Amino acid sequence: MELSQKKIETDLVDFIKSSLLEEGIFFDQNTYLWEVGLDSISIVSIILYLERNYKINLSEEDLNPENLKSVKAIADCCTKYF
Amino acid sequence: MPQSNSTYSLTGTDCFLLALEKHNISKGISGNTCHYVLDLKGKINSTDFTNKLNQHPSVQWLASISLGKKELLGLPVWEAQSISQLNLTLDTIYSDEILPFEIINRPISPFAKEPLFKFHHIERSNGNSSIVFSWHHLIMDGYGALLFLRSLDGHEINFTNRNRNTKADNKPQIDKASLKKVIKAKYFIDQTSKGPINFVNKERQANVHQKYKVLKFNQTETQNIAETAKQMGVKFGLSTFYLSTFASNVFDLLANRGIKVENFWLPVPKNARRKGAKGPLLGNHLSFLFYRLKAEDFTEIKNGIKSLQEQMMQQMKKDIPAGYQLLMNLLKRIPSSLYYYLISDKKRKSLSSFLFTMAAEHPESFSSFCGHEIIGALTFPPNTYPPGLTFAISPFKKQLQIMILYYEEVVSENEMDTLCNEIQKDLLGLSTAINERN
Repeated sequence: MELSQKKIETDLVDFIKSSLLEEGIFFDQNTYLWEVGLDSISIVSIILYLERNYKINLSEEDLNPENLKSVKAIADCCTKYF
Repeated sequence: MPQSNSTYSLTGTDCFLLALEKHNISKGISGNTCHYVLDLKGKINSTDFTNKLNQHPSVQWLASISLGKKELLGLPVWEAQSISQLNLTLDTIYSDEILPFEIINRPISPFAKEPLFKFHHIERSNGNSSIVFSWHHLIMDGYGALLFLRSLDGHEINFTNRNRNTKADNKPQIDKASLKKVIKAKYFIDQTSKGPINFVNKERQANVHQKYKVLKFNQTETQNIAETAKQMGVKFGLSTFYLSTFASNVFDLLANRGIKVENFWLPVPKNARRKGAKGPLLGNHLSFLFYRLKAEDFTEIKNGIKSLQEQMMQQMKKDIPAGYQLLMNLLKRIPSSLYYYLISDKKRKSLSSFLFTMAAEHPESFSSFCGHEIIGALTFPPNTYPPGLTFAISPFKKQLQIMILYYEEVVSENEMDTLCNEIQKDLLGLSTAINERN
């Protein structure tokens, strides 16, 4: 499966806006997750979304605060799995 | 603003709390009372503030809420009556204590014919003031309280997203997939909570007295704590670092009492609203994650973090929080005595080894209250007894604040001093070597 970083970013932003955030809250690929109140449980939900939708399992090394700070960082880290 | 003369059904979590209130925690002096402390710059005119409260539609509506009479196998409901005139009084206390004794040991009962909340005004010796909003946990959770306080300053909120209680609302709605989730959650909880479990509290006592400690860290220290957490292997959020640190220090506390700790078991609340939600204010919108920590998880704090992160991931994969929320909704109709019988284990001293809760940071946009700058904010969760020891996180302006609520019958002053010192050292990464315990 080939997926562009842009596509992953779009999917993730849509998922976060539709499942985790209240309507009307500004959020894009560059927003830091903590800035909009997304906590550890929300981040786990995002990781599970990646696993379920793209059938990828992020490695232990990839699961770190730097890679999980924004949608852009997450998508950047994911591209190597495709 | 919702209508008066309406009824609203309690959430599943509300019914769980109601069962506890009726059959368990009534023995604890503080009951299930929470507090939100707003520290304000300058002096508050208490007469003006009292008048504002009594005339504010949000306050009038919340004051009109009381528990309705539950029909057999019917849903328990809140009733909102119309109030012609509200006469709340505001007690002024002169103190430099964050939360004076008379507030923290004054319970609010959901069964009394009084509002389920109270305001206090504290005058500080430095010329500043604090407003303390205290409420019974049954009527709202900490996030609801924040929304309520913001509504007093004109912030738009949703009081309730539930429709008025109608016959249609009373029909149980559960499909096969949901039932499967419920069974999975129930099985999971039964398995993970199996003994032996250690509890911080000793035998139950009828009269207990609540105390608290507040550990405040400045911005630099808070950044250092985040750095320590990273070094300890935290992957997604600091909650696992805090919880592992608290658990390993409670482990030490019990070890110093000569108790061989085998397992801790803790339900940890999780806000079920979307982030940034403007409501609902009424009721508890929570689910829970359930953690079991084994003795080997306490040999090093990073072992506890690893275990907690794995458990969090597994439970989210299995949809346990959603299943448990459905389970609580299903149990809403049964009489509270039967409810309590189902959720309690008579062989146990408590429902949890100790308690842990993490509030979101006080919003930056909530920077003034009634014309006064907010210079500090703290959320005190209820400290249910038993177990009678609660750790709570409530950051303000990027500065970590930890509240430790305890009963002197559960943790002695000497034990608490040691606990506070060790926790600070562990969080800041100042503990000597790696915590070798055993």
